[in-house]
Amino acid sequence: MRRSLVALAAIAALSSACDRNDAWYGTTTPRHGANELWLNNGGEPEWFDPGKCSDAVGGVVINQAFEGLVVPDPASLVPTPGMAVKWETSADKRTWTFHLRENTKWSDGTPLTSADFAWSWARVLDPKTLAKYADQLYDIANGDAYHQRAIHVTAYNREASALADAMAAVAKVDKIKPDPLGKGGVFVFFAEPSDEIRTKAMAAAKALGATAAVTGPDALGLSTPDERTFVVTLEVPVPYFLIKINTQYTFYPAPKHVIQRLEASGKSSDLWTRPENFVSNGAFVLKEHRFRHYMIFEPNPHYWDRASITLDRVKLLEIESYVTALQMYKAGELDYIGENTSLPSEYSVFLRRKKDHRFTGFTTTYWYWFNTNDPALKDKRVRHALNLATDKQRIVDAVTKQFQIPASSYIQEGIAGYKKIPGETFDPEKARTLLAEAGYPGGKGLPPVTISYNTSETHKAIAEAIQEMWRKELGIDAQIRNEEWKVFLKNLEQGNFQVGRLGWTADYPDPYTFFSVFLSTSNNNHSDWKDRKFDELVDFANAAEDPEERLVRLAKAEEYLLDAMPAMPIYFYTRSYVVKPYVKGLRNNFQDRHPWKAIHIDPDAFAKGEVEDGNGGFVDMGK
Amino acid sequence: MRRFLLRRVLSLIPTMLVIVTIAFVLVRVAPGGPFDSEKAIPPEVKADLEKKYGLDQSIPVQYLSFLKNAIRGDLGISMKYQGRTVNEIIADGFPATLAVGSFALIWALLIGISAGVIGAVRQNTAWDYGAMGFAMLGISIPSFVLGPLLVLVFALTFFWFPPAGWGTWRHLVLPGVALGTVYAAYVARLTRGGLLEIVRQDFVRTARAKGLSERIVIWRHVLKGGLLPVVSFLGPMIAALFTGSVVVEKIFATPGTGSYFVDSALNRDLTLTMGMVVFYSAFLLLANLAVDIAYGFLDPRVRHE
Amino acid sequence: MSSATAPVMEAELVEGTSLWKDAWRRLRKNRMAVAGGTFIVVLVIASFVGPLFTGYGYEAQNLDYGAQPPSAAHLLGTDYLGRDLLTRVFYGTQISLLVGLLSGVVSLVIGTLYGAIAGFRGGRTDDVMMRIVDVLYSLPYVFLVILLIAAFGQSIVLLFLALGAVQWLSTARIVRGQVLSLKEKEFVQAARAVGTRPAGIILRHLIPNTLGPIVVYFSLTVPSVILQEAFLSYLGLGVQAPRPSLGALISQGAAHMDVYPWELVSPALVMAALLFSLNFLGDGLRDALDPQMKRG
Repeated sequence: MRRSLVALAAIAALSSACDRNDAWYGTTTPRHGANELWLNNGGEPEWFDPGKCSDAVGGVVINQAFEGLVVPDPASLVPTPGMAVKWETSADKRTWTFHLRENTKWSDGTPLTSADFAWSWARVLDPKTLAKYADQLYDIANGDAYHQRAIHVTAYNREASALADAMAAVAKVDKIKPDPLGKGGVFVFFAEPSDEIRTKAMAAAKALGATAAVTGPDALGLSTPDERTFVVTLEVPVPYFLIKINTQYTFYPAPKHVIQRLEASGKSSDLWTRPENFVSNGAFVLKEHRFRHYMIFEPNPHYWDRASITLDRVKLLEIESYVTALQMYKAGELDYIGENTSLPSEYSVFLRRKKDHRFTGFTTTYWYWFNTNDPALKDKRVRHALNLATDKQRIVDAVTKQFQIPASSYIQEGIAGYKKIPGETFDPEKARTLLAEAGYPGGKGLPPVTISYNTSETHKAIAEAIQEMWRKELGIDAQIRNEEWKVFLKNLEQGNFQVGRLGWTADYPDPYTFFSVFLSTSNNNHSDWKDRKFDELVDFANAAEDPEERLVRLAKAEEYLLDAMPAMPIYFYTRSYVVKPYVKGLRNNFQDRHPWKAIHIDPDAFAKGEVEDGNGGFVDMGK
Repeated sequence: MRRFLLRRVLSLIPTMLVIVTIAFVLVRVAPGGPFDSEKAIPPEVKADLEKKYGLDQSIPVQYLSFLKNAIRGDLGISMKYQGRTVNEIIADGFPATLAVGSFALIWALLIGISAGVIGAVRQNTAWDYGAMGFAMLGISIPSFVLGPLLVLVFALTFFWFPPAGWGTWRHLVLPGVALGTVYAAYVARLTRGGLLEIVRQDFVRTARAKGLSERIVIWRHVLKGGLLPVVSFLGPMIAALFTGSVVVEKIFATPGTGSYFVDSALNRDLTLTMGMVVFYSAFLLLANLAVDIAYGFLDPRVRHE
Repeated sequence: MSSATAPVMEAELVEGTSLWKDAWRRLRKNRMAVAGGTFIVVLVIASFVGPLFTGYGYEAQNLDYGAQPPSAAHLLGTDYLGRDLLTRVFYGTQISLLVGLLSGVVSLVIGTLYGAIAGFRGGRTDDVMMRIVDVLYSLPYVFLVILLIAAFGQSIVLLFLALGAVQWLSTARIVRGQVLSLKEKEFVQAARAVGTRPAGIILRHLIPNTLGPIVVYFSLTVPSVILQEAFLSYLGLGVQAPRPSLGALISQGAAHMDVYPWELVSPALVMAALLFSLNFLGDGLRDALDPQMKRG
C-alpha cells in the first residue's frame, strides 16, 4: 500500500513536470463565449454599498458598478471625466465646482442629478449610517462636525470665553471650531461625546441666549445650484482632492431613490444591494448574487459610455484559497486571477517562467512598527541598528520572490510624481557600531525583542528570515510571535507589542496618505512616536501652492521621519498575477485596478500570436 | 420505545443550553472585537456599531437577550456581513454542506460496507487483506491530502472533474470522495468485525445447517445484526463529516457553512458564531436521535428497555 | 505417558498464568502487532536521536537554496525556506508523538478517575455523573476546540488540554462499565470487609483490573489525536511555527504538491506508517487482552 502512494506521488510529479514544458499555465482558449469574462474576487464583500464599504473585496465590485465624478485612466490613473465632464477650482483651492454630463441616468432609467451626489456624500457623513470610511470625507467643510455630532451654536453675541467655559463645565471639550464657510457660528466638539452630554451642552448654550442644535447636513459645504452643477467647499485647501475622489469609492454615489423607497416600505435599506433591487450608475449592473459563491454582472444599458463595452457578461467568483483559485485558472475556469488574489509564493518561481505571468507596482508598503515606548526600542540608535541589519534585498529575492522592491523609505517612487528618498541600506558594520554606541555591544544587555505578526505563511517566513538576520549580524536573540488577526490588531492598537508587522495601502495615489499615518493625532500610529515638528512639516507641505514645491516639502518631512525611524520599511508591494492570452485591455497600473469596460476577449489571440503584455506592448511568443 | 424517545427529546434541551452557554462565554471572553480593523475607525462609529449589536451591555444581559431571540428563531445580524441576517447566511450555505456531507456519507457506507462484507466473507484471503489494507490506508490519509491529490489526478491531469467550485453534480464528486474515504475505512473495519462476530454465533450455524443458501444467510440473518456496530458509529460519523467539511470546503471552494466554523470565530463575528453553534448542535443532536431510533429498530434488545 | 513427561506437565501446572502473561503471549504471536510495536519504538528512538546526526536544525533557513528535491546533502530534500526536511520530519514526529501521548494521558487520567468513581459509587452519583457524560458526549467538541484556539490563540499546552478533553468521555464510559462489573467480585468484597477506604479500593484494586481495556483504548486514541492535530494544523490552529508537527508538514506539503511533491511525500509516509503501526498494535492489544475475542 505504501508503494501505491509513492507511485501516485510520482505520477503527480511527472504530470506537473510535463506541464513545465508548456510555456503557458493551463488552457489558452476561452471555455466560454467570446464576450464573457470569468475572474476571481477572493471572497465575499462585507458591503458593496459605496458609502458603507471599507474592504478591498467590496471595492472591486463598487469600482465596476459605480462611477464617481472623475474616473482614473486605465494605465496612468490620471483623473478623466466620469459623471462630471468638466470642473473648476477656486483660487484658494477650497471650492470645487463640478459640471455633470448631460442626461446621466441610473441603471433603471431614473435621472441622476447633482442632488444624488450631495445626498450620497451627506449620507456617508450621517452618523447613523455607521460608515467606516466617513473620515475620508472630513475634507468637506463641517464634515467632521456633522459626523461627530458636534453642537452647532449660532446667534451668539457674547464673549467667546463665556461659551467656552460653559461648554467645559458640561464635559471635556476637544475643540471649538468657527464655521469655515464663514456663515458665523461655531461647532463644539467634545472629547467623549454622548447623547447626555449633547443635551446638557445645548441647554447650556441656550441659557446663554444662543441657538444650539446637533449639526445637521445643511451645515456641510455641499450645494447644488442646479441639476447639473455640484459645488463642494472644503474645510481647508486640499491640493490632491481630485486625486482622492478619483479612486476612493466612498465618494461614489448611492441610489437615493431605491434606498428611500425601501425605507418607506418599512424594510431594511440594506436590502438595496440585493440583485432584485440593485441599481447603479457605472458600467456594469449586478444581475445575480450567490452568497460566497459568485456574482454575475451585465452592462448597464443607461451608462453614458455603453458603446465602448464589448463584454456581455462577467462572472465574478469568490474563491478564498489562493491555491484553489490558481488551479481553477489552470483548468480555464478563470480568465484572470483577479485583483484580490495573490499568487501563492511557493508557486512564484515556477509561475515566473510562464508567459501568462505579469507583475505591476503597487502602492502598499510593508513595514515593521517599532513600539517606541518599549525599553529595548526607546533609543533611536537601536532602531536604526535593527534597520541596518536587515537585508531587504535578500528578503525580496529569497523569501517573497514576487519582484517586490526593497524599501529603505516609506513612500514609493512615482506616486503622484513623488521622488523616493534614498534612506539607509543594508550595512551590518554600521549597525553593530550603532548598537554598541547605544550601550549594547554585540547585542549584550539588550532586553529581549519579539516580532509579532498575524497568521500567514508569508509574514511568518519574513519574520523568521529577519529573526535570523538580527541574530547573525547583531547577536540578538529575537523571538517571533504569531497572532490571529483580530488579536494582533488589538495588541497593535494597545501597544502590546515590541516589533509589529503591518502593510499600509494608499487610500488614494498621493503621498499624503502615508504621511497621515505618522501624525501625532493619527489613530493608526501604533509606534506611539509623536512629534509636533513632523506634523508641522507636513502641514507646511500641504500649504504649498505649487504641486512640485509640495512634493519637495513632503520629501523633507519624510527625511525627518526616516531619521526618527518609528517603523522599519521592508519592501514595496508589487502585484503578480496571471491572465489568459485571450484577455485584452488589462493595463498595469499602481493600484492594480482594471475596469471591465476596457476589457475585451479575443479567442484567437493565442493562435494569432497577438497577446498583450499589460504595458502597452505584446508578448514574445517565440521563447 | 416511546418512553425512550421522550426522554431523549427532553434531554435535548439541557444539552443545547450547555453547548450554547459554553460557546457564548468562550467567544465573548476572547480578546479582540468584531469591529477592530487595520485602519482604525473613528471611536464613536465603533461605539455606535457596538451599540447596534448590543455589545455595550453587560454579558449576562447579552446572554439573556440572545436566548430570548434564539428561542423565537431570530439569530440576529452577522457582524461581518452587516447587510445579512445569520439565518439567511446559514440557509444559503447549508444546502451545499449538506450535499457534500450526504455524498460523503453514502460513499462511506457504500464502499465501507462492501469492503467489510468482502473481507468478512472471504476472510483471510487476498480479498480480505486487500480490503483491510485499503481500510488502513484510508484511515491514515487525511482529507486535506486526499483532496489535492484527487484534484491533481482527476481534475488537472484527466479533465474529468472541475478542480473546485459548485453548481453541477460533477462538483460534488471530488469533495465528497475526499471527505468520505476516511470514514469508508472505519466503516469497513466495523462491518467486517461485526459480521465476523455474528457469523460465529449459533443462530447462523443453525441457519446454515438448515441448508439455506449462503446468500440468504448473509442477507437475512447476518447483515442485520452485523450492521449494528456501523449504525452505532453513524452518530459520531455524521458529526465528524460535518465538522470535517471545513477543510474540504476550503480546498474545493464549496460555498457551504463549513468555513464559518473557523472564520466566524477568527473574525469575532459573535452572532454568526453563536448561530453556527446553535444550528449545528441542533442538527447533530437530531441526527443522533434519528440514529438511536434506527438502532432501536435494528436491535430488539434495546426496544424492550 | 512416560514418567519423564509427567514432572514437566506438573511444572507447567504449578507455574500458572496471570492475565498479563497470557496477554503478552498472545500479543507476541500476532505478527502485525509486533511489527507495529517495533516500528513505533524504532521511530521514537529515531525521532529523538536522528536530529543529532543530520547536521541541520529544524529552523535553519537557507533562503538562496529554496526548495530542492532529495539529494546527497539533504536526504529528503528541503522546503521552500531551504530547511532540511529530514530534520524537520524527525522533529515533527517527536512533536506529533508528544501531542498524541500527552493528550492521551490527559484523557486517560481524567476519564479513568471519573469513570471509576462513578462506577464505584453507583446509585444517584453514578446516574448524575453519567448523565453529564451523556450531555457532554453530544457536544460538537471539535467545534468548541476550534473556538477555543481561534479565540485564545495557539499554545501547545492549550492544544494538549483541548485534544485530551475530546477523548476522556469514552474512557470514562468504558472504565465505569468495567468497574460496575468488578465491584461485585470477591476480592473487592474482601477489601471492603477488611475496611479499606474507598480511595484505596479504587486505586489499588479496581483500576489495575481495568487497565486492559484502558490500554487498548489508549492505543486507539493516540492515532486519532494525531490526526486531529493534523486537521487543526491545516486550519492554522495547530502547533505554532517554526516548530513542525507531522500534521503541519503535511498540510504545507499538500498545498503545493504539484510543484514540490517531496515536501509532502516523506511526512505523509511517516504519518501513514505511524498510524498503521498504532492501529495494528491497538488491534493486537485488544485481541490479546480480551479473552472473549478469539479471532483465529
